[in-house]
Amino acid sequence: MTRKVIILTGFLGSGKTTLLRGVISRLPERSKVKAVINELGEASLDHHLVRQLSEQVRLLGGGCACCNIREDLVKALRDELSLEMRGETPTPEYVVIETTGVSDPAPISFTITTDPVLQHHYRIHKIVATLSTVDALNNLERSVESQKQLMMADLIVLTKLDIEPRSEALIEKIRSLNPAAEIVEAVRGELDPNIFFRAGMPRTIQEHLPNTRAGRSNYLSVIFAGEVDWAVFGVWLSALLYKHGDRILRVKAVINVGGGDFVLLNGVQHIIHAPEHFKADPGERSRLIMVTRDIDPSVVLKSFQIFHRSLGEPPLGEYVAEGGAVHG
Amino acid sequence: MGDMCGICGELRSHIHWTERIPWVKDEEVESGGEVARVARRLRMKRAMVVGRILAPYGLTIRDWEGGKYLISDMKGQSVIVNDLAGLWPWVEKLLGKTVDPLDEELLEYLKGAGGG
Repeated sequence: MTRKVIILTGFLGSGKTTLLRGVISRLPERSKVKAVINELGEASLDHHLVRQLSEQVRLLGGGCACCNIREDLVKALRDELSLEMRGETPTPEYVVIETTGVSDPAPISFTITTDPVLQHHYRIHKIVATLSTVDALNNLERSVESQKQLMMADLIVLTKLDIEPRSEALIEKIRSLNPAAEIVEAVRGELDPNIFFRAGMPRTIQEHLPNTRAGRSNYLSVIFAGEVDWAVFGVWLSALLYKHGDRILRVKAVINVGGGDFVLLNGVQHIIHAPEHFKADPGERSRLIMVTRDIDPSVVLKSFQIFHRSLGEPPLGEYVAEGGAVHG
Repeated sequence: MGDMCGICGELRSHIHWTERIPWVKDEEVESGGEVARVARRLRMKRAMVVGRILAPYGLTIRDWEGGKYLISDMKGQSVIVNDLAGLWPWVEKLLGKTVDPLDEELLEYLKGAGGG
């Protein structure tokens, strides 16, 4: 069974551990979840669910910030696998990995996607970011790391609302950073576990049409009819991420590859997780979402269209696109 | 099977996502038959698509014994790579620059080449 990994990120003091404790305590079956928390955690958790890490990063050559191996994580998750295989602990459905305040989620993603053992037993399910509403706008202004955490998230949980209520300006700011994320509130860790654990990506486009506004400068959401050639798409996206992976913070896609087969893709910067497959109505449309930084999403869409059309494929039908000026 | 991190060149043991056929189990790809033919067709298609992109830069690519890709420049230098994760860094080394799918000139070339 592949364990679903949820990366829980957010600045120190933003309530990550409180949230984790809150959602686990509301689960009918707590054995479904294991948590990996960092040494600086701000609240205690039930010990048999938890493993503590001191972050040990193996820096690889090349200077790419996200291609780092988290050796502490490799050891912890492999040890857990051994215990599970010996029947000494239950096999969880979810593993929540809490990052330190300034950690980048990308190395966690890289580690799990590329480790020869872990890649077969774990997959990245979702990235959750906590954000304290207290002085949030100023904090976001000052911290590029904090902005990046929000831009990478599938779910953003606002915390500390009992101290400072949310403001429209804050929501507007979050939406401008990441229109694709779901935004919810949790006071003292009180959040419905279903919201925390459910998939961060709609399985089909009918489930969740984008509720965003046009003109966003850092967001591309495109829905299109017609089949996409898997080989062409792979070449295009791999070349794009090799060149611009540091500025494409998230990629999510549901691609209709024909015959009722669909591929679900999820990536953080230039790391694409193992694609998943599901069946759906062959007439179902495809969807591509990107959260970008300092890159015009309309140019990305134009490139995608030209690659697709120019490499022997029929034109894609019926575009619904949002983000930037995407009518090109 | 070993391959490289696209940026760092670190040798890793995993199948690059572009080499996967998500609607088929990995072990079926290895077992031959119809699935192996699909894998081969996709590999040939990837080589063809990359070939079109690299053509204006004077590089060629071909499938190498059904399991790797061979890229060559006009000076006769050749490199064998496992997959696209290994390919783009080598293209960058051979050209001295990265191929940019957002580059206007490349997009114009592709439009012309494909009649799109």
